[in-house]
Amino acid sequence: MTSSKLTDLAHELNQPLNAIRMAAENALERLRSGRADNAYLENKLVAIVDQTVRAAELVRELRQRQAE
Amino acid sequence: MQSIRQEVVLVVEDDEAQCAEIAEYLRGKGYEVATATNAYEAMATLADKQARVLVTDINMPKWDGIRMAEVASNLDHNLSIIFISGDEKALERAQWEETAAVATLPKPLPLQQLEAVIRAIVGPQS
Repeated sequence: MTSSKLTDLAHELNQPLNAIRMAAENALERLRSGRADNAYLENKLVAIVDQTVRAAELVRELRQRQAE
Repeated sequence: MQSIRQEVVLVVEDDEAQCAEIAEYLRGKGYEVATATNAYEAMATLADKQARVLVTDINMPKWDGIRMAEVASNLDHNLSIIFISGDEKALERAQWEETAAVATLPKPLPLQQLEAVIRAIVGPQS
């Protein structure tokens, strides 16, 4: 794999990681202010799970490209 | 009773999940937030709403954040621009080019840090 493709993939992998960090920060902010209800927290956790699936797909793609 | 003006922050980020999280955090801090997931949508929003701060990603398809910010700041000289990116070279380019950038922030982006930069520009929101 060329270094440019590797850079692109690293950039792509950063997107779900950033989204996970921000979702966790928002959830923490709500928890600390005492405004986090169960529905809100469930939505945030679902969003985090979705982003981990996205990250895992990118890692799988990276492995496939390495094997080619 | 004195009315309190909410400053408008426009967040431009092509990743919808990140765009939504940034907007949620800033709304929680009292800002009025508009969002766009590409530069064209952002320019249409700016034509409709007077924003005080533009927070924009740099690497976006078709029209990148730096080009868009140049056009936006030419149209509104009071607009303060904050670039966010996970691409260090893109952030360097934003610093060197003739943009009215107030700050360039690397991703992963602590939302607290972003809000502190915005607060320094517009003051705390109620």
